[in-house]
Amino acid sequence: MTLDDGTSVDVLPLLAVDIETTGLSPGQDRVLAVGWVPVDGTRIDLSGARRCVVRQDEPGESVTIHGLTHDDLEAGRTLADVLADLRVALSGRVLLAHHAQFELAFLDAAFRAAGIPPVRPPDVCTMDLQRRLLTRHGEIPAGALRLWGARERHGLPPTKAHDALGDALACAELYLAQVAELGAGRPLCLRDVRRRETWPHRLQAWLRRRRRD
Amino acid sequence: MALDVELAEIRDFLAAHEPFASLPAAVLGSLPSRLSVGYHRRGTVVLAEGSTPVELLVVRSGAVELRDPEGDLVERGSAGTCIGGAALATGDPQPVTVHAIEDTLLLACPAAVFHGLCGRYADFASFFEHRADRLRHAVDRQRQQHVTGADRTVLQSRVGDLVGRAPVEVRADETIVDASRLMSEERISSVLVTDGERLVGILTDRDLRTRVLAAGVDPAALVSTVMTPDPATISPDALAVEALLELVRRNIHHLPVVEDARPIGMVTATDLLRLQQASPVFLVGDIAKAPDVAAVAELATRLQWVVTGLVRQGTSARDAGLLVTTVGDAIEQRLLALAETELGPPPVPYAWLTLGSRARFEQALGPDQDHALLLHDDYRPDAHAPYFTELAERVTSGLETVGYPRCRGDKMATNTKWRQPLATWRDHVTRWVGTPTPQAVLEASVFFDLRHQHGDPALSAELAAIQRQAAREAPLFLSHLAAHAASQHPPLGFFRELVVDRAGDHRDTLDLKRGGTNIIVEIARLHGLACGSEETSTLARLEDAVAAQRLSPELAADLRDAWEFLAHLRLRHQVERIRAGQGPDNWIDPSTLSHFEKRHLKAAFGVIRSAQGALAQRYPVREMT
Repeated sequence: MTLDDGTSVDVLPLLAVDIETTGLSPGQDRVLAVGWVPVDGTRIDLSGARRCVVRQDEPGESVTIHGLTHDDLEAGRTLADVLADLRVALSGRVLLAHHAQFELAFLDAAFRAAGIPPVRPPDVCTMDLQRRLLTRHGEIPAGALRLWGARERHGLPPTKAHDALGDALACAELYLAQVAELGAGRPLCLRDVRRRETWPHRLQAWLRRRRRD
Repeated sequence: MALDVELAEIRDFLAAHEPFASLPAAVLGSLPSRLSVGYHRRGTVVLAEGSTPVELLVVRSGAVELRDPEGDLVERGSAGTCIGGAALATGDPQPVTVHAIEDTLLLACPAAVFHGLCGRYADFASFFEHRADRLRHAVDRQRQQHVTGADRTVLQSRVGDLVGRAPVEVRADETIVDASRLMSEERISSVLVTDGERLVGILTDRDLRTRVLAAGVDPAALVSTVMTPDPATISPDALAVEALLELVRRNIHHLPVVEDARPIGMVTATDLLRLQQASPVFLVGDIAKAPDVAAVAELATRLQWVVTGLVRQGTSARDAGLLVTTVGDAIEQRLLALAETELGPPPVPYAWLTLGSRARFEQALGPDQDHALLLHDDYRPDAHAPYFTELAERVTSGLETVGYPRCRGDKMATNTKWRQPLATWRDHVTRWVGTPTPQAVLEASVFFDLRHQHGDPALSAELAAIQRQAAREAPLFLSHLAAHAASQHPPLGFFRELVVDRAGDHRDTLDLKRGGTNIIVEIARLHGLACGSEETSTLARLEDAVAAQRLSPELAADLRDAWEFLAHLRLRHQVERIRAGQGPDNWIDPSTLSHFEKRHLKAAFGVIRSAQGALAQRYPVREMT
């Protein structure tokens, strides 16, 4: 299926992605693990769920949050291998993430570091969708945009945080709930749900690319 | 494969809910990766009635409501509820429409995976069988589980089942006089002598006589000097007959029961004798020959052992109720005969009527009295009242001595209101039936479970015929009965969870009688009276109602199974309480039940709800209460 802005969300293929990193800076911090799960329209396909641990020597400070030990990381695969798998999983799909900007920036840097041409799929951001849903009701309370706060608002069950696949699945479930709410009473297509970049974001991204190229 | 671990949360969720909980761990581990996840907003249809499901849906979070084609609520479900399973299993169209009543996250298991699981795991498959089949299986299994051998004679019971109380022990370094005092206080004829937790000896009444008194031993001496050291013992797994042989062979009367070197109780020659006498045939015969009230009371204590034995032999609740009724009848008849012997023949003919559960042949353990006196119309109060007042008082106090408490609602022959000539009873019936009020109907309903017990059977038959005729032609009266039956709530919550008392004497328990068997009894009584049935038992009334086309055969079968399941559970509970030295009651703690029993308990209460729903369609029950 070709993905265009007119594709209905009922059939829209997405891949919910979450990455675990050593820190928050795409240029400096490394990718520790990548988790993903496909979403076909309004169904999450658990048979496509994966969690790939990236092999490296030094896990850095985030190790306690992610629960990844040195052994896990040594048993992992090379970043290039994992990214190649992700590329296949992403083909023909929209990237779905909570705070997609972060995932995209890290993946961009990682693809470059591994010497693989980066992918730039259309993306849907559940944090962005949540902001839109909440601004309908006025001011956004603190914490309401975080993955767990957003899930809670939709009555989704609490889950264990900070595992790449768990977070990807949590994001995918949130997406189903958001689309159900946004789509109540009107048909939705990709145009209605894809991330809208604000102009400062677009400027930042442009500057970043200019510095690199 | 690492993948299994990644979806651990979904696996753990499934493992916490039936029927997935019954699957082996390896199967559960690989199941999540074969599922998908979907979401339904509040108010949307999850699965429509008449559609053909292609997957089994499991509520992961949120809540759903199942409604039948008429729009009546069948069930509500929260996390763990399965949707579409029965239709998938049978290939029939989906019978009820399922709505999300909260935003709901669902796990979906494809049909092929579902059928694979059904084919390999019987417990999984049976979960999706039709509710009636399920209850019937449950009843069978419940009975079998508590059978220690359907064809066994009583002496093939296990020794462990005969141990009625915890062992009474003294330490070897206590004095003989201390041991004797303990034995008197506990009213026992032997005591176990221990050193720490180890059994080192036994001291019996006979030892005290022969080795202490006759031998002139100082009562201040230590128990260890006069006890029988290292006594013969028996394992709780041994058969009663082995215990009996051991006693006879050694010519002793007491045998400590020892498990893992620790004493857990004692079997005595008296226990074994009682076991042999615990045959209902002997019991009824003995009661009929009892010379006085005290002798009847003594014999009546055997009843609980008879019932204990029957439950252990896999008797159905129906048969057990029949037996308890037969023994109760024998007791009442004997007390009446004894009273007549002392008071002389009655001045006018009369009939003694048994009411309530015993009239229905459904007496459980620990019931109170329900009876009435029906006098011939020749009765003259001034001349004859003293005779019948005295007769009623003797029988009632006799029943009390035997162990049947007086009726709290005073529905007894000692109450003038319940001791009337036929003409007065006829007026009562006409008034109850003709101008019913909810309270009067409640009172009267006891009187509509009526059975002749003693005296002139023609009188009883006439009154019963008056009742049948009157009730049948009184739609308003029947509506009141229906309203009462529909107003009682089975202890089942919004999400079909079992609801227990939150505080008070019955905290954390639920009443199997009030919210369970009683409602079925009321429904059966209503239908029985409405179709002019002569039966008094619940199951027979249900049969008659089906024959009269007042009740669908399916619902009647469901009600029968639900009654049997609930009554059997109650009976087992009562037997366990008796064995633990407590009085029988109807309050059961659901946390003591297995997954299996809890599920079927819910199903039984669900059947009652359906039947109440059916009543509401037939009678204007809401306007009546």
